[in-house]
Amino acid sequence: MSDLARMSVGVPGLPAVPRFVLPIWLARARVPLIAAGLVLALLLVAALCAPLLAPFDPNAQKLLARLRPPIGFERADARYWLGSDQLGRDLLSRCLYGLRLSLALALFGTVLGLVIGVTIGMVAGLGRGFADAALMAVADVKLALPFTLVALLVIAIAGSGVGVLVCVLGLAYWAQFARLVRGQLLSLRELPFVEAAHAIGARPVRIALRHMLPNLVGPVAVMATLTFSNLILLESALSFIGIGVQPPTATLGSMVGQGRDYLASAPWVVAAPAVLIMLVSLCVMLLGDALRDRMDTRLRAR
Amino acid sequence: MSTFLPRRLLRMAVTLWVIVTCVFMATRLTGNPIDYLMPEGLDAEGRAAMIAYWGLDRDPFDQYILFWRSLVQGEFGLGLMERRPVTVIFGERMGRSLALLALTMTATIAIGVPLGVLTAVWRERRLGSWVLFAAFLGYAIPNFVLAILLILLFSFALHWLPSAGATTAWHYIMPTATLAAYFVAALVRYTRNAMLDVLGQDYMRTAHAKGLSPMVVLVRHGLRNALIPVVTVLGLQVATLVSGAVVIETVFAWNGVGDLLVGATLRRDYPVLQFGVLVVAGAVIVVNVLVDVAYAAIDPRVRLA
Repeated sequence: MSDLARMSVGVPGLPAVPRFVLPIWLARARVPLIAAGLVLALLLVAALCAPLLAPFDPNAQKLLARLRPPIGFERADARYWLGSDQLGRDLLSRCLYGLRLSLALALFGTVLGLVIGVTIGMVAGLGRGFADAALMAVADVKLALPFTLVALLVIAIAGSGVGVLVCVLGLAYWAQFARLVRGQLLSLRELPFVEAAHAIGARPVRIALRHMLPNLVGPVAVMATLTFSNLILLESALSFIGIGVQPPTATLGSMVGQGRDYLASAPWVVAAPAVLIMLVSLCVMLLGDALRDRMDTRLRAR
Repeated sequence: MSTFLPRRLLRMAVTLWVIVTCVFMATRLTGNPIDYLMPEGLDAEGRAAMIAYWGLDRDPFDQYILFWRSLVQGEFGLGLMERRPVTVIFGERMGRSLALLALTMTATIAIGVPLGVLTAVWRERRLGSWVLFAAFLGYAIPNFVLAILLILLFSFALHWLPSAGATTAWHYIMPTATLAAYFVAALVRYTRNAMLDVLGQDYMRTAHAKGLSPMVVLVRHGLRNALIPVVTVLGLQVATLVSGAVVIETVFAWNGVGDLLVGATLRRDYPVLQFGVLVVAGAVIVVNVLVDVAYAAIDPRVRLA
């Protein structure tokens, strides 16, 4: 199955994660790319400086100021720029802290998945034989399953803390990393410079670490960008359905999930975090695509 | 074909065995299973009965055998919340979930394939690039955010469509649309790539040269060849589709299997969750095999490889 996928989805070595074909005018234009970079940089700074920027404590409730709309609307309270939620918490502060936590979770999840996946991929690709077959069989099972099921099971057993969530996110993409690394290693091994290293008597470990590992950096970096944007979405989806980060802690997904009940009377509670999720996702995806184009010379020719 | 099918079935069997074993280990061997397989507030007598029923006092190997036996016999005990056999609970909800999945799949193919062909043929035109841009948005916007936006617009602002439940045909429109958005976008992309590859082939020029109408060339000579890789990709997306359905069912209070599993997780209803994971995972694996077999039947290169 996965072999078929690689056969049909074009670029060998790169994962079967869809690469998006943008309209030519958008792909060629620098402006959207630069804009995406700027917006993302701005959001990153905002997330990092959340404690400095946030006007309120994100969890401080004020029952007298519940469900105030953003400034500019009727009944607005000038102190709450983006309005307040059902418990009278400042939405701007919650968005800043939520963005911070969402980005941090996705980052840790990516690093964890990368470490697990690259390790397993290297063991499989260099070890060959039984280790390779067994590890890749497990990776295939992982890829064939709807990951939400795994997440539900893990969270039901281990509880829903931030640490568990990082583990769940790390489990989400390890198999993709492992497959990528293994595939790259298998093709690298046939190349002349590896043969040359063998010929001058370099030991296998040295060949693996000094000669092969540096060649994996490019593809793994591209994969990590894609994983990062996917994990932002996964984390927000899990928090949205209520099994991710638990209240009162804010992430963008849980804010949308909990604000859902007030959709009819107070749509701004949901709108602000929802727009942020979309912005982050769009920007990371645009940049990830550009990065992939730059890294993969075979695509550049098209 | 002689070795392809047996090999594929063997791999499926191994996969299913791995899943069952993982679920068993996850629910039995991590910590004390008696505590979380039991409903809260159970007295000592009921507790002893439950322990005897699940064989939780025996050694792990016996438990494993028991687990398999209950699996084969379809005995999964009672849901902790509803106090009814989990098989009955799932039976009631399975239809709604399958209907949503089937409708989404149909809509995806009906919309995605033609749009993919059009964007390939219209690659020089503005309209084609707008379709691609819309597909990019459908791809990048998370499904639950799209669902919320649609509910805001069509339920609360315009009052055209219901926002929750699964009773009438109207209820199906928004869940299907939100779930299909991502897959239509992906399919447009795959079909477009496959079509672009096919359009440059010699046999296409030959077909044009012998005077066939452009439509016949495009569909019979172009699309039929382009669809081969698309079928595989569609098969690979089944797992993603099921994952998406869990979220979408929760948004629209679908009362299907997806929101049942989310509820079971939140309330620690292990019998329901354990059964659900096994059934859904098993179904997805079987569908994957069916797609592979169908693919091998269409394309001789696969089974000869």
